[in-house]
Amino acid sequence: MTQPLLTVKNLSKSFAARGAASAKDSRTIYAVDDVGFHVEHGETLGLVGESGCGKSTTGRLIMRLIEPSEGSVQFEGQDVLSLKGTDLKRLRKAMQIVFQDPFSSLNPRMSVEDIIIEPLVVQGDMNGTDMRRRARQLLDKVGLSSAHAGRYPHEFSGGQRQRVGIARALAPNPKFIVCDEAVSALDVSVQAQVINLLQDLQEEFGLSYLFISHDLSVVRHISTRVAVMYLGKIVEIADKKTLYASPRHPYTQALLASIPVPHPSLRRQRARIGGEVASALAPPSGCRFSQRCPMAEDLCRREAPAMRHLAASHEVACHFAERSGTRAASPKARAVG
Amino acid sequence: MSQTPLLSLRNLRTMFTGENGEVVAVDNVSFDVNAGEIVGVVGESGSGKSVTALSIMGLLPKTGARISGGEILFRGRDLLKLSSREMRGLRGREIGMIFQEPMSSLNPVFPIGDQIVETIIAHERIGHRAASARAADLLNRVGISSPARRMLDYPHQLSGGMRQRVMIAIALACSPKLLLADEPTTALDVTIQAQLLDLLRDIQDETGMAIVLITHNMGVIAECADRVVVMYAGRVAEEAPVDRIFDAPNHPYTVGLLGSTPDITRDERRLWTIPGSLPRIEAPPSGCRFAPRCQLAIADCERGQPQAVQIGAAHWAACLRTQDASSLGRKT
Repeated sequence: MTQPLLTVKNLSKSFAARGAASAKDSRTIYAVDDVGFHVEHGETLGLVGESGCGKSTTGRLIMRLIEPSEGSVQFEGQDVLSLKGTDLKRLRKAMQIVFQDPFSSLNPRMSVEDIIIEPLVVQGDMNGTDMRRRARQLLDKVGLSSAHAGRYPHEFSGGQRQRVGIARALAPNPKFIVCDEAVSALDVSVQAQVINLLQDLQEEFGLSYLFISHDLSVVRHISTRVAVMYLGKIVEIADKKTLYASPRHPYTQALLASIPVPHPSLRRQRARIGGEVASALAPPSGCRFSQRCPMAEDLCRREAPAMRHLAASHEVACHFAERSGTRAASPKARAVG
Repeated sequence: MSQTPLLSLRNLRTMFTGENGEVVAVDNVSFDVNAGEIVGVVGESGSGKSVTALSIMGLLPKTGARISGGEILFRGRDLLKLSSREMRGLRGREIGMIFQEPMSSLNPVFPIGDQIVETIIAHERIGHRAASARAADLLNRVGISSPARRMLDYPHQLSGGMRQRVMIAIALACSPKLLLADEPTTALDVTIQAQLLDLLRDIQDETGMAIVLITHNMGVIAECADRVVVMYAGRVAEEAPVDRIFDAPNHPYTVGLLGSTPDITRDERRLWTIPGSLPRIEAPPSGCRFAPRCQLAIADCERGQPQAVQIGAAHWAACLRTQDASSLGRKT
């Protein structure tokens, strides 16, 4: 078996809670807690979860935009976390990121061409003429026009700006791109265009994506495999088909049951969960989902379940994953026709 | 239909003053809301859906915005002819409203209980104690446990979902006949969104109140609405019962919007997209606003605003090519 492109093990990040009411209140937030997964060549791993679950922090830790507290990240056999200076810079050619907000992630004082070639300038192994030629090629590639090169971000719509952000990520010819809520700020009709663009580029350049999103429908559409996070931990990872058709973690099941689907005939057929996500400052003991879980027993409140394999490509962190199959409430199962 | 609608918009036109003169944000919009039904208004940015709601509530900015035409009939009375004092009496009492961002709609320096009580006292001759008791009941009804204690909480002490529940409690305080809900769940996580949509429907079942639910999310529409109004660039593109919108859309924009929405119940290799981007409100296309992005557009589409054509029972589409639109981009 060939090595995965990216392997993440025991990745953790804790922050000191700011604005604590008193000194004795100075607590630690485990934003990402013992997270592990891998990304294969040419695939898209979807990373989903609700706000505050640690999905964006995970993406930033891998890119070393934030330094992890613990864990290891291997990219093509290289230990990402121990790299420094020139080696780290070289690695960053291969790993890029596209951000959510196409307004704040582009420098308003730079022309679109300068924005796209900035990563190439930083890398420093191309001359000016080549860089500009590359920028123009990339503009065409992402569905803009090379005639746009001299324009500034404010002259573009949200969808067009996101295309510029994608062109910038493509500039150093990466193998791996973290898409951090990359289509979430876009209107539906424009979002669909950008999703199709990301898929076309993946096919053309053999890219791998870590696609971070709160939108389970978009993630299903674009991903090969999907990981679900809850309060800093991954609770389930599986290939797309398995995850959506027979989810085994009660949280995954609840999440899928909560999505409004565009079929009026499927209305109100699905189980809901009550309660809200617990504070990351005071996560419940044992399984972090135990407070909201309809199946929780004493064991769940005592002991945090470890990730374990149910099948070759299906991992779940739940003491009772075998039992939970019958509760599956995926809309697919009930869809008629 | 023989029944008189609770709310009837007739050719509503709302203008904003921009840097280079006036722009039309809502253009000739007409639709009805009957007692006890949930009408979903769906559209993307700039479709005019929120401006329509603000126009109904009389909450447009005092400067730079005006309603330049049309009627808003609520129980037979034209709201545009009411004085601001009469509108104040109506708002909150007969028409309630909830917004996307509950934090900016609640006053941060008062406990939430006071804010509910204040609403009740503003509209009814009722003592403080009775109003307090009703506030607690309302909180209980929107799913907030230990309401008496929660009434003392300030907005910042509540989660986003809880704040939206409080907003719903305030909106319901005087049992309005109509609730305008503008993207009420957009800022919330999906599990909380599901809880709140369930709550809205339960309340609607219980009270028979009508709801205008404004959203950009076709899934939310499918979950909640009885009838749907699809808006694009300030105009109504299509209006139909919810099943018809999803199963037999007749406007190319509706077809495109559905095709662009990833569907969790199916595998599609590619999304069916609408080319181009939303028109700028300052320079809308002449004729049909959707024509520049429409695969079916013909020369006539650019000549004038297409009239709404009746397709079936309670189903209209403002398009010259409805016959062909219904077979466009069909998902199989």
